[in-house]
Amino acid sequence: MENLQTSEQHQDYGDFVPFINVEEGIKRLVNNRALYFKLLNNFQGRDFAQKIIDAANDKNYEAVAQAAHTLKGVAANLSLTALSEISLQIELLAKQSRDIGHLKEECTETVEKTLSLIARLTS
Amino acid sequence: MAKQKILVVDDIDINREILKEILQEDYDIIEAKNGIEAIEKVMHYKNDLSLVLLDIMMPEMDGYEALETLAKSGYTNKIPVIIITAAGGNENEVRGLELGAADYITKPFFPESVLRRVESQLELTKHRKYLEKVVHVNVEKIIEMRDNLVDFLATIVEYRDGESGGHIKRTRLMMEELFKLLSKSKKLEKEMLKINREDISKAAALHDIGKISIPDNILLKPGKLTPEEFEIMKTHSVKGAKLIDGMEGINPQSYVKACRDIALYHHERWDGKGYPEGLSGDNIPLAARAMAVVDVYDAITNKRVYKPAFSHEEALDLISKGAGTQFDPEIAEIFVQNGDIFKNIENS
Repeated sequence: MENLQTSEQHQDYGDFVPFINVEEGIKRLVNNRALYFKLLNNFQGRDFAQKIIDAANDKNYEAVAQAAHTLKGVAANLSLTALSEISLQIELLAKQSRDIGHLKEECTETVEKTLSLIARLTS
Repeated sequence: MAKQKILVVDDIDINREILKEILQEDYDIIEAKNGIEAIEKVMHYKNDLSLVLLDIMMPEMDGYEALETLAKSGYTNKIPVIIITAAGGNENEVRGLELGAADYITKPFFPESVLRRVESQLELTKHRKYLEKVVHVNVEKIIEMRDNLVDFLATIVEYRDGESGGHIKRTRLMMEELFKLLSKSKKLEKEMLKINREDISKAAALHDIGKISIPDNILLKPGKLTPEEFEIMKTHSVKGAKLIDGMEGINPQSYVKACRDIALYHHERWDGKGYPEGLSGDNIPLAARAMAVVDVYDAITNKRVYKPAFSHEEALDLISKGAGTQFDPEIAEIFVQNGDIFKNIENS
């Protein structure tokens, strides 16, 4: 948050940070800002989270773990911090063949919040 | 210089795109979506490929399986594979490394770290290839030295009967040419598979090494040997094999075996009336059967203390007549049909 004062751009993205670390994401793409937003757009149209929910409803823990693993990787790579973290929690539970319980709702909420922020960023 | 090619294997396009963006300034990026595609691409690009970045959790064929397949076919020795794992999970990097991966990177990617790891693996591969080349060149040098020493030894023995190394050099060249021709023979196909042509032509130099043990009065006798003298002369094949058996630290075994076969059996005859063991037909090693023809041809066309030189045509005639009795008929026929090749060596 101390970056807030250093540049206007940083200020713009500051409040996204718990969900989307925009600066880090852009840096990962060797400062190709346009590509970062393009990839965020791409992510918007994908059903990574839905796969977790579907598998959880079927009590197919292996599939839950795999879907969570995939989302964890993509989300981390796009610096979708909150989503990556919740995916990790789900993955760890599912690997022990445990029900993901309330994390299911939390995951859905995080996805919704993240997607709405992406929509704001890319509009 | 063209950019080095890197294969990026990940089932998620977003992950591939991120790696591509990080790497594409310095490298040519090829993509694959799963293990099966990855193996196809590796097989397709072969040595053109410099490195593989391989995700572990993928549908179709996962990264471990792809890695195992690549390691089994020896690819991981030539092309470094860096596996992609996810930080914070309990994915096993160690398992990947055990399976032959050179290194690993974790998601989320950090451009600097990805680039450094890729670079250092490429550097290592370059150094390894350089060292392999140095070793290869030195092995070649050692083999060349071995061959020169062996030729030198054979020449020393040949000096005793007034030759000056010519017979050794000519018969080696002839064996080389003859085996090129024999490799096209359908009848000899099976036997040719078991031998190394290069070993045999080099081994030919030692065929008469046992003559070192034959006394001067027999070896240098002008005119025909008495039956007793001939018996002593005949021992040169067994003595030669014994000398070769005493060679230590000479490699490879296929070369030593070729030396021994040729020295011991080059006076065997196809009809079993030769010496020392009276072997017949293809019980006589192929190298010795070929040596018998070449040795006789070169002996006939050159002057010896006990005989004048005969013409090329006379020599071929004698070999034709000996086909099926003295000589392997297939080898004799091939030799005679390609007589000009051997005439040129004789006259060079």
